[in-house]
Amino acid sequence: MSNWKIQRRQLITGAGAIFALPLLESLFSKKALAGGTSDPLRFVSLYMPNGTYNVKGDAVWYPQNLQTGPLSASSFSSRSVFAPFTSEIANFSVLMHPSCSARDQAASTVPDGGGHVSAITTWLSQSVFTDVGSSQCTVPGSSFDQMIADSVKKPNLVMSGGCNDSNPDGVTFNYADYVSYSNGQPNEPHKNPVELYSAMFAGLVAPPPGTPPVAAARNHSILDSSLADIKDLQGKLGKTDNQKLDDYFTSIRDLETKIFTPPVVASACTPGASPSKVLDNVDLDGSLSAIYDQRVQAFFDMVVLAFKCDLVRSVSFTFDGETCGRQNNPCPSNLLYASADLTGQLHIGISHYGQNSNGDVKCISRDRNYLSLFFYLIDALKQATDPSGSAILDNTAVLAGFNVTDGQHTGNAEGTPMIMGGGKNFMHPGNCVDLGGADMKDLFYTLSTYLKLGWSNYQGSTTVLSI
Amino acid sequence: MRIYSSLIFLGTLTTAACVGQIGDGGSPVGAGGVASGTDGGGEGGAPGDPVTTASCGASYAPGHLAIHRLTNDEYDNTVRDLLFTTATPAAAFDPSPAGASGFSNDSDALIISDDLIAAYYAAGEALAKGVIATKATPGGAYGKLVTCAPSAACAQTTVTNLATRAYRRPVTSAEVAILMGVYNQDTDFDTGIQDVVNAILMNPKFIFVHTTNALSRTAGATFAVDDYALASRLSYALWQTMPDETLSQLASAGQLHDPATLQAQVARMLKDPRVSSLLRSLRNDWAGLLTLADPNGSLVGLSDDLRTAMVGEVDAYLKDVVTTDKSFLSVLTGQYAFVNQTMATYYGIPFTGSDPSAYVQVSLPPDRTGLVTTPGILTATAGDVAYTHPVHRGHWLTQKITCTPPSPAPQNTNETFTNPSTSGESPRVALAQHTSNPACAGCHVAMDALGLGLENYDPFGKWRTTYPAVTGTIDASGTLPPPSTKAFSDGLGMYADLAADDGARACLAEQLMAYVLTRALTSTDDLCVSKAIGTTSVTPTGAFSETMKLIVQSRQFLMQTGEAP
Repeated sequence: MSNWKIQRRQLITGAGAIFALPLLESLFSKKALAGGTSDPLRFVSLYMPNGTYNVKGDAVWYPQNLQTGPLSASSFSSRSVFAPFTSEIANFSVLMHPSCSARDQAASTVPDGGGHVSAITTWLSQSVFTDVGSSQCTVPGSSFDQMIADSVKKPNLVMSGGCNDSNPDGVTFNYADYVSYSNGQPNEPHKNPVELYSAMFAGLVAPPPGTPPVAAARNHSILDSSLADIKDLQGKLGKTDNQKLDDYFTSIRDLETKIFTPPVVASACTPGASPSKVLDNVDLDGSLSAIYDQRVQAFFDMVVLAFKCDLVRSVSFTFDGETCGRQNNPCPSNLLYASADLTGQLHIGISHYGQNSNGDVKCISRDRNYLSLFFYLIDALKQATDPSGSAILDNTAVLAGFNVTDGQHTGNAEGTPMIMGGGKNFMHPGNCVDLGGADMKDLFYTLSTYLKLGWSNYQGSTTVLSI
Repeated sequence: MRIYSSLIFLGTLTTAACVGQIGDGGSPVGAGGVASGTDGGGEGGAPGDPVTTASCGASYAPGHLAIHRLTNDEYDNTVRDLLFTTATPAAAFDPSPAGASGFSNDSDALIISDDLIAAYYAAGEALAKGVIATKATPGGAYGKLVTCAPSAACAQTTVTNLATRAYRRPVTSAEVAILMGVYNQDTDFDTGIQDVVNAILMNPKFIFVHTTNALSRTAGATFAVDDYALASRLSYALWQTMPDETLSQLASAGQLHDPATLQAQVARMLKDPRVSSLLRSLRNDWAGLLTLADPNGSLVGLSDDLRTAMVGEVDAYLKDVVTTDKSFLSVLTGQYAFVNQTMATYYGIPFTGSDPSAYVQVSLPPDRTGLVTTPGILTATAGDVAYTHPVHRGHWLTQKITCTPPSPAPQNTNETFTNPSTSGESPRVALAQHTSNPACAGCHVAMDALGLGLENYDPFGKWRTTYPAVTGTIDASGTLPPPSTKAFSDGLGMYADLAADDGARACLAEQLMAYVLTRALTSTDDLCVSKAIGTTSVTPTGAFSETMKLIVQSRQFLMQTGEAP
């Protein structure tokens, strides 16, 4: 159930990093996925839950007049969600009119209250869920992000802003926990940035000179104390018992090796300080709204760092759950758009725009908050470089959007909002592409080819889109 | 259950009694030039209760109990009692599969892996951090563990007390020095204590339940385990956790070996809520409900409500056996059931309780007997959800009721068994080739006969008299496998025959012994012991506590055999 466990185990036995411990040398090898570049290629999913406002005749997520081709400042009206972000036009593409057959099939198979469960569970899995009634909500196989991780033999980094357990509208399903899947079981997302930092990077942090005790020394003494007592016991027990103690000894040594083997750290892979202690928590009900944006930024900072260190090549982040009392006033000033006004409960209070006065404006404002965080990540990836000198952003596909077709659950939506950031080395950011109803499976197969994963198909799709 | 290993057969050793003090290791005494050991015991003689020694002699071989790595449940329970936490970190550990004993606490099966050690480290770090986090909490773990003002002396006291409880015995100055070395890596008191907690949780003397003695490294030497080791054996057997204060004090006073004291402690412990861990092991490992009881699991054709209710019935039954001190034989013979609203509906009987989810005792429906015909066990052992597979139920019976498990099937075995509704052929006819083919008969005569005896119960344990799409009524008659060969007409008769059979009673005792000893009984064990315990206490008038008292007074429980270095 928990990808925390899975990830930890993968980190230990596979790629190498472990919970609260430093990283292995192997983590820092720079393996090319395939092809002519030595830079790793990566995928990020940013899921925006609940649904939003993108109605026919006022499609604020699409360019004016549904214009395809290169984007420019004039592509977007002042009502557009992109209006504050014209400086970022070269860094992303708008993908109009996608379809998601798995979502539609799931929604028709098991009515799930407006398509929320079907939307969130199929976003990356593209598979129809089972047993939603028991809140297990498993799917066949693994989600796209996990498949990438499995292909490149790296852990999959799954995160959520939290804010999914408040149950304000009677829904008890914790949506954000059901985006990423491994072998049918949902990968539980990380929700505490400080804990995630400890899990992935703490061991890389060089303590300030002269600051005792260093973490390494503490870890050393803890493990060495065990080794001393293993030897003590071995002198008092017989052969078969000592064999088990030998195994214990070997495993402790193995752990020490993982902890204390100095990693070959690329100069770009030097973590800074841990996220602020005020983020050492999980915001399940929106009560920590005041630091929500900082929480997301901390997660995104770690995405960049994980990419720099080549710890992971696939990431899934879910902004909120479907139900949450999150507010967001004021927004951090380091965001491109700091005027988001989240004064309504995210689901009924904002996404159900038809039930609220100025509902469309609330959706636009909230979505600009999502986008300002999206562009925070985009800009951070742009600043970071891969070994070849290329921006990490150019080697990374950042897919963001909704999968609930319309926040008000009407049939009046122009299309599901979806954008693709980065990937300049293999895609064509800065454009609007009309997918014309192409299925998400086609999109994922396309990405698999761009990322040089060598898959023969993705869930039967062999269609390559031009994006 | 029984493993015929290649270990040295210790039964040829003659072990003399001695008057050594318990726990001092004693000096080797022996016969025939073989170092035997110190049989410290309750009254200065060889340990062993009158029942088993009368039947099996005063010096039957105690066997060797390997050092025992804590199971996941034991780890959680132990850190709960040691650190006053409600955390259950072992949920992140790999599950422990059942070993040759049939139980997941089997010491031989509790292996060490790199993953596990790394998980221990992560768990220890989180638990240690959790202790410090309670510093400002009245009644929290920190306040219970640190009872003095922070200072070097206080650290020494805190570390000594904590290690004593964690290692389940007094610690040596050398052991404290090692831990103080960890403490001294840090400059502030709390960080030092935090690291010591983590170090203790990683220490083999915490992770492994073990006993040492001067004769531990003398091959074949036998010796009584000391009182602290005995307290741990007892506590982990009945509670799956560290000894409580009472056991520790008795061990400290050197009183635990006293037979009367030992029996009183067994009686006390079986009445304690912590016995629920033992009940869960019996349910999962003996009754075979591990998968059925998985809260995250599901079974095709069975609603979660009914599945949970089936498991709950088995839980209620086992709890009643222990808490009302019935004979373990009642799992075969009890003429009562425990039902909630769901199970009452399933049985087709009225529910008389006030809380639909609570289990109340009712008279047993006429087509049932004991725990063994509860839908939970019958479903867990059916082998399929569409139809019953008699070999599966028969296999369970040979493992858990008769202790005559078959050898593994040959590699070229054709295990195809089709749904009778598809073939139109009854399972009895379909399985006839097993008994007519000599290559199969050796194992299948017993398994098939016992499994076919339960054919009146469908895959979910419902009573039936016919198969769908198969002509005629179900024939569940048969004979018990040799040496009994008693005839029965159906499952009820089969279980009645087994309940009267000394072999089955001995087997039930052997099952409990294997659990308590955390190992399968092997060729180095004198099976006379389980037979004596079974025929004495697994009887219509016996008591569960009586069986457990006899087991913990056996030489297998009280003693240890040394090994070559």
